Formats: sequence, C-alpha cells, structure tokens
Amino acid sequence: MARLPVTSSTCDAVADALATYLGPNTARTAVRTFAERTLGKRAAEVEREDAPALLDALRPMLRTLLGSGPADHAIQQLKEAFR
Amino acid sequence: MRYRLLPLLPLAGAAAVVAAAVLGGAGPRLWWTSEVSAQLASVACCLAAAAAFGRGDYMLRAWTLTALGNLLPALNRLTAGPDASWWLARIAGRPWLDLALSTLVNGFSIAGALYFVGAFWRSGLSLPGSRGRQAAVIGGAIGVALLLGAPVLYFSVQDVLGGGLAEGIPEAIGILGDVVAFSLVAPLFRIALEFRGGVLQWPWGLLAASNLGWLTYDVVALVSRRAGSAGPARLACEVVVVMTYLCAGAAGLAHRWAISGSGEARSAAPAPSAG
Repeated sequence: MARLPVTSSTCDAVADALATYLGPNTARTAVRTFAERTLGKRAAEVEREDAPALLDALRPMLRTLLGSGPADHAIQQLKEAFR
Repeated sequence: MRYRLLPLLPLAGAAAVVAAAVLGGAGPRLWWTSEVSAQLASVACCLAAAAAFGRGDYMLRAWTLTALGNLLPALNRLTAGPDASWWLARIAGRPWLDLALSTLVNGFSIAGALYFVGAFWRSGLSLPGSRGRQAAVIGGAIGVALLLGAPVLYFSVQDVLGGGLAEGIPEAIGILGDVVAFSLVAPLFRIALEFRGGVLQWPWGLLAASNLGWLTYDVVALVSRRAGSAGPARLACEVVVVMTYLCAGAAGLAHRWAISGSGEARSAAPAPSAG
C-alpha cells in the first residue's frame, strides 16, 4: 500500500467523514484539535500511519454523540478505509 | 433529505389543531385530545431515540429524562380527563401531588436539556473563539432569553405571592424551571449552529426550538390571562403547546435517524488518496 507522505489529506479524509454528523466546520475543528492534543501534530503534519491513533482519540467524542455501537462501527469503517 | 421534513411535524400538528377548532369547535375536549396526542407522540419519539442508544451511553440518559419530562404531563392529562373529572383529578388538588408533579416534570425536562448542552463539552468539542468571546456570546444569548422571559417571571411571581403557600410552591418550582429552561435555549441553539451541515444539527436545533416553545407558551398564556380573553388566545396556547411537544418528538426522531443512518455515513467515508 502506498504510504502517504506529509499531506493534510489524512485529516481532510477524517473530517469529511465526520462532517456527515458534525457539519464541515466542527468536523474540521475537531480533527485539528484532536490531532494536536493526541498526536502533538498540526493537521498538515498528520500522516496516514497516524490515522488509527487519531481515530481512537475521536472515538469518545463520537460515543458521546452517537452512542458506543454506531461510533465504534464508524471508527472501524474509517480505519479500514486507511488500510 | 428526510431531515428537512421533521420541522413539518410540529407545523402539521398546529394545522390539525386549528382545523379541528375551526371545523369542529374549540373546547376542553379538543384541547385535551390535542395535548395528549402531542404528548404521547413526543414520548414515543423520545423513547425511540433512547432505544437507539446502548446501556451506559451518555445520550441514553438525555433522551430518557426528556421522555419522562413529557410522559408525566401526559399521564396527568390522561388521568384527569378533558373536564378534569376523572379519578386523578379528584386528588390532584392535593398540594403534595401538585408539588411532586411540578418538581418531577421540571426536574426531568431540565436535566434532559442539561445533558444535551453538556454533551457538546463532554465530547471534547469547543465553541470557536476565545473563552471570553464564547462566554460573552452565551451570556448575551442567555440574557436575551431571560429578558424575553422576565415579564412572564414577574407576573408569575406576583401570582405566587398572591396565592397560598400550598399553591405557591409548585408554581414557584415551575417558575424556577422556566428560568433554567429559558437559559438553556441559547446554548442549545448555539450548539445546533456548530453542527450546521451535519445531521446532528437537527436533534439539537429541534430541541432548542422545543425549549423556545415553552418560553413562547408562557408569553402567550400570560398575555391571554392578563387580557382576559378566552377563545383565540386559548387556541394560540394550545397550538404552541402541541408544536412544543412535537418539536421534542421530532428531535428524538432526528437523533434516531442520525444513529441508524451511520451506515450511510460509513459507506460515504472517503478513502484518502495517495496524494
């Protein structure tokens, strides 16, 4: 699998998926916030291999808003998209 | 998008009440039927939302509390009957029952709304802008809500002071509940605005509209009470009550759809390109 170099596409892809629930602005802000908080990286520095950790960090947020089952399912689906 | 149909639910309820009043004549039986129908529909939708969450989920508690806050008035109305002559009405005058009912209904409703407001912060999200600006925006919005509610609160307090303690305490609890509910309208709308473009804007937005409905109801009820008018003012009150309950029900449906539609979101998840 081709490895993503340093681009913002990983964060963009996660934000695009979350935008379905949170809306584009909040999704983008959430991904940026959790990337900095969890990975210590700016959105543009997040690489493809960071995606699982970033998604795990976003899991509690989605569990609160959507419930455990749907949140875990959504995270799992996104992780698979990044494999 | 089916979510856009949800605001039509309270509007359809309002239209039905007006049509029934015009065609069949307004009266206690119509008010009772319309209120109980809206309350039970709301309870069903809120419970449907609660059932979509698993045990231990934060929003399960939010929806259960909201459902209970709508269920108790429904039971009260159901057991009292259209002419307040059924069995519970005979003991409903007892102060302890009024007090318990007022406390529980307000407690459940406010706790439910607080859960919805708390969900945003609990999830780790934050409003844009500095903390000072956020506090100013929320504080300003709460101030507007309280300003709108101030006349209602003023006259309600006067009524409480004019009555006996037995009648006054449940009224006072209702007023306290109104103060908190008015204050929560702004944060709920603010959060709904943050979810703009996403499906979660609907449950938060419609719940905010429901809370705003109670504020509107209090204003309309106050005006009709002070004006001493009966017919059109009473109809307006009933329309607002029905819309308020149905807004809460529509919010429940929206959240249930958002959760059950997570499959659509998953399949829509874009795979990152190799850039």
